[in-house]
Amino acid sequence: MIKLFTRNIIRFAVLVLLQILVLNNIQISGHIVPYVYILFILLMPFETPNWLLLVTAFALGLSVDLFTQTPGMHAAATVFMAFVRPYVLGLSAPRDGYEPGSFPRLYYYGFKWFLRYTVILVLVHHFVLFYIEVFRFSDFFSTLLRVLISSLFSVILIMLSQYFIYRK
Amino acid sequence: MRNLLKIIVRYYFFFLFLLLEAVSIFLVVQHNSYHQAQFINITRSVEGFFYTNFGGLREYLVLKQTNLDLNMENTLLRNQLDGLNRKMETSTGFIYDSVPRRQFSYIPASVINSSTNKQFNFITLDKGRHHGIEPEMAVISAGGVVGVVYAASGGFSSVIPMINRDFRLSAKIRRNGYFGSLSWTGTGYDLAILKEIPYHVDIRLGDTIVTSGYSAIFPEGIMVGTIRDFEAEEGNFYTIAVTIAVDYKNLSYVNVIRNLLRDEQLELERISGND
Repeated sequence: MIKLFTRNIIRFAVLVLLQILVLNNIQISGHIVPYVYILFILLMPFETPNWLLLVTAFALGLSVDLFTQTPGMHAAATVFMAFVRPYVLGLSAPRDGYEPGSFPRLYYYGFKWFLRYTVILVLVHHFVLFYIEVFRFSDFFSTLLRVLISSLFSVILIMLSQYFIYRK
Repeated sequence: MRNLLKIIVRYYFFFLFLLLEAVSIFLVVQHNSYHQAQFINITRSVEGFFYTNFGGLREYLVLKQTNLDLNMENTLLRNQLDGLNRKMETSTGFIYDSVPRRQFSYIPASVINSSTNKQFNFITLDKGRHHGIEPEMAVISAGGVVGVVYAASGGFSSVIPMINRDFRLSAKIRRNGYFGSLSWTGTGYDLAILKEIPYHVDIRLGDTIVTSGYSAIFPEGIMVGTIRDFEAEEGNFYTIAVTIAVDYKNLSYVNVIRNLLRDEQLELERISGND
């Protein structure tokens, strides 16, 4: 339990630092940025109580906001994503439920399951984030395009991270 | 009442979600209303401290380009100096005042953080109120106009660059002096739009756009960019696409401009009701 706790704290710090110091500076063709810090919410254990999920998501978003001068923007997106997560997990559960002692990772549930899980939540997060950023619907389709392209890069990086770091 | 509490406890997940989302949106909106700089000031101090080290590293990496730019600017200044010296030697005019009044003074600063990929970008400088920087001062670099100071804490200040959707600048075409309003459309860090140029004006691709000096912030004639493209809009005005002269991806050293006569000018304009 303690081990799980410290591991999550470290993961939180590493992902936030990675996002603000490295990934925010990678701008593919001008203004498309991969947002990989949300991997933290994806990887939280199945048993996490819902309130904790929301509160950590809020803290995660706010700490990224602090370093990008956008108070509330990332927080709104991550909280929304955390709100959706239990439903996505419920919908894509295997027939006999999730095994106790396992985590929502590629290692336990395979490539296909993790890809679907990641794509849905990344799209939700990016959608909320980008539309709050422009704060208007007048450029709906150009924003949608940015959502899709950024999501693509985020998903690729998240999937790769599963092979590089969590191979076991 | 008890039923209400029951419902809240039962669906606490949803209500907590609503609460946190509301807090987030509140923060976003509060940030958009541009007068509440206090919150930003606090985070800016923390963040400035953090980025100073990281910015140092970045400065190191672009050192070669920076040296080149400095060298070019030196050459330019030297040329101007020579011209001015010559003018002084040959002029036989009267000298009215032995201490010429300066209108603008320049404060050097380094960029320690900047963004180019958002709709509302910001730049953080390593100088602040202790160094004489106050809100609504102009910021330029060797390349041209960078932006306007938006908030300043003790040791740091944040700048609204030209690539922010809230940025407005009065700019003119250098060749013929017609002026319009410059803004950013949020598509790419090197493209701005100049509007309100009347239809009859002669415009050519590659024309230089400079500041008009019609505000109390920017001096006149500072480089803004060059005309990339233009088209006639509905009505009697052109919409002109301007390639921004400053490269926001490679920005390390800037100058903040203090207008020493700003208060005087604003006071006069206030009295004469000429806003």
